[in-house]
Amino acid sequence: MNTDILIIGSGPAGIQAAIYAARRKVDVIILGKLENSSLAKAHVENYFGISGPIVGIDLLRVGKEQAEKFGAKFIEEDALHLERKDDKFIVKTEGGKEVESKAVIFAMGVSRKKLGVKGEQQFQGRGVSYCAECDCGFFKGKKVAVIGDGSAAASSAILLAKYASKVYLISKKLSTSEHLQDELKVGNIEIIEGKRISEIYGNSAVGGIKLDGSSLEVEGVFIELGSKGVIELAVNVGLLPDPRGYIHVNEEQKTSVLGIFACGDICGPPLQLAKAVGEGCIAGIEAAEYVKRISKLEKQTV
Amino acid sequence: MNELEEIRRKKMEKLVKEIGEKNPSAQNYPKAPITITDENFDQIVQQYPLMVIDNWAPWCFPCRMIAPIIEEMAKDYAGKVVFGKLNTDENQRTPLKFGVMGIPTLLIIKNGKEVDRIAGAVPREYIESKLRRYLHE
Repeated sequence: MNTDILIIGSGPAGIQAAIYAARRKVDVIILGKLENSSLAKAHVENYFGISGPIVGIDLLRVGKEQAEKFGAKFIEEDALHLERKDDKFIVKTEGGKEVESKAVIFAMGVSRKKLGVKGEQQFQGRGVSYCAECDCGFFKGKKVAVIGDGSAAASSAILLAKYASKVYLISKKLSTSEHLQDELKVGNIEIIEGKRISEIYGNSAVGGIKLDGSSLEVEGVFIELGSKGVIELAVNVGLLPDPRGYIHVNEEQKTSVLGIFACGDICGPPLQLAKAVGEGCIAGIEAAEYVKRISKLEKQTV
Repeated sequence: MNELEEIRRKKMEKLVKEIGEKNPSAQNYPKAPITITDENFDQIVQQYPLMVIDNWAPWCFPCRMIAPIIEEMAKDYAGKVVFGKLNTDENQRTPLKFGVMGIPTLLIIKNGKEVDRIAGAVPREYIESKLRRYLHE
């Protein structure tokens, strides 16, 4: 699949960017699930023109229709992987799709990373990890648990199964693509659904977790909530977030990597709807201008 | 912000000078992170009274996020704290000995012994807040 602009994240920043870009007659594909936006469950009453309160998901649905009316295409899947190929970007989705794009807009927001259970902080770096890609090598032949409901948890479990002797994927309810569900059917992955983790215990390192009162012995606990965050996607294309995980942009919402723009919460506080929408507008306009410029150059050189 | 930076810089200069007067060899401490391996670890941690050792690997993206902070701090804390970098791909014995199970992990080593550690990519202020205690002890 080919497009001019690929937007990762379908919250207010991404949708606003899609509206502005699509109106400039460039092809736009937007990835993500409306209900995963932090706006979805929020009650909005501080946004211009809305005396509210109005539930965020209703705003998102209207925004999606608007963007579609102008020609933007939605793919309701998470991005799992991003890479650069020559002067294009290739995104792989959790459904196994590959999208090739001239420009990318990062609008995936910031997601909760911490679980907030007893022992989590104490054992960080001693068995508790937030990065399966970084730390899988430390758990060769060991039993580990992956906590999460979305594509990040599923893809991490698949990776860890290549190193660990046993992977327990623990989720309230797993919601991910069929493609990933198929890949999860590996001998050493066991899915435990509907149980809640209440504690991570151990002595000098993780010894196990408590699940609704019962104990499960593991040496590693990988916390992978939601979808893949900005760090995982960005670093492959040479874009480094700051240590707080935010992406730096200039006044045109351009990142330090040519062809990649960013808008919304991932650019830092205030994490507000009004700011996300404003930045989305600029990112949409600038990305469209960028794509038109490089298309013109391509025609001239052919 | 700039003003704060300036105050911090001046305070640091003063502290470095004081330490330098007490311990003249401190002036020769490295101003950039030094490479630590399984082989040189014991010798190096004996050589410098206060060290921060960054356990990292080239493909680890949070490690790359804090790498510039480590470089910067090595320069700013020159003469007081020596920073080292240990590649966990090439050196597995030391991480195993210290029970490092994730990267990046910063080990704070005082007089050859681990006194604290920081797991994950964290802002500079956080590293400084942890270090402060061991600087003034």
